[in-house]
Amino acid sequence: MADSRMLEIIRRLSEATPPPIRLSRLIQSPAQGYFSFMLRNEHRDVAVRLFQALGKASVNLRYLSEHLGENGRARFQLCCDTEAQAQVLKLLQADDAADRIEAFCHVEEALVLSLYPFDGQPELAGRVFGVLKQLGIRMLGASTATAVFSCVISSRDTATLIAGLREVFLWE
Amino acid sequence: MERLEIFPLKITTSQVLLTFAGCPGGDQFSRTLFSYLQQRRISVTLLVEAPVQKEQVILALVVDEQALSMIEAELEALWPAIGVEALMIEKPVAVIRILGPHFDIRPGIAGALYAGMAKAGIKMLVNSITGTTSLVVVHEKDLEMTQRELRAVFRTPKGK
Repeated sequence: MADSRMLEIIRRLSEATPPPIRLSRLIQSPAQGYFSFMLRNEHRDVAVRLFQALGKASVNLRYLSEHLGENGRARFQLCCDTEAQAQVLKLLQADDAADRIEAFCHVEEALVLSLYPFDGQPELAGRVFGVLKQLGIRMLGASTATAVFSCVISSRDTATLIAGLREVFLWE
Repeated sequence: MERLEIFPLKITTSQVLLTFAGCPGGDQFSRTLFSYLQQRRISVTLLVEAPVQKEQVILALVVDEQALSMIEAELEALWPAIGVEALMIEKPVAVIRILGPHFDIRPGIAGALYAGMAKAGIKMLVNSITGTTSLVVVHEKDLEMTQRELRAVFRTPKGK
């Protein structure tokens, strides 16, 4: 039953012609340092202290996403301007944080690409992810707000991805 | 830290948080899922995707509860077929838009937000901050408490 239903869905999708998607703006952030890590739910106070300390150290966060899932662990991803990343690294390597952080990742040269308008369009997300896969670009993170779809990539992939996105969407 | 003035909070209730865990890294997964949602005219209230181990990704989507009810049976058939390891569904959840704090140019706002929520014991299911906006997802049962706490952290026009 489930198989026949699934085949029907796939058939419908393959018959459909994807509609063009019009975008108005593509904004590239300044160079960023990217960090991701996981914390057990009972250790989320580490994130609170980290963000408070970053505020005291005048570190701006251009991108931050958190998602609670995966066996009660919260996954954090954040970007800060490159000159501030030593500060972030120092705080994450402090004893009380380092002992609790799991799956740590740091990319020294990343950036955030923001596409407008998102407006809840699932196909926009699908096409961006499709371009990333086709071009072999590793996506470091993606998230949305009402009007914007943002994705984080390594700086070295910027020109390739922007060229790919220019081909996939109609730009106004 | 002074309470920053922001736009009125925008609350979207009767939402569902879908977490697709262990999604394959290939093109087929995202192409099929998002094309399907587009074809069924499902609007995405919020999306967060992150890489996990072995080229897999984890994808969190928030969609309207009523819209999900129309596709739930098909979605149940679809996710195993496109290689997703598990689908977790949380409902009802609410999405709160915090517009205006400028997280990207004003240090300390994320710290104030997280400290306030932690002090009140509110569990944020998802938080997505990009530049000027934060979208916070909480269980609907925590909505009133969350609004109260956000108004303690930020100043909204006439308490809106």
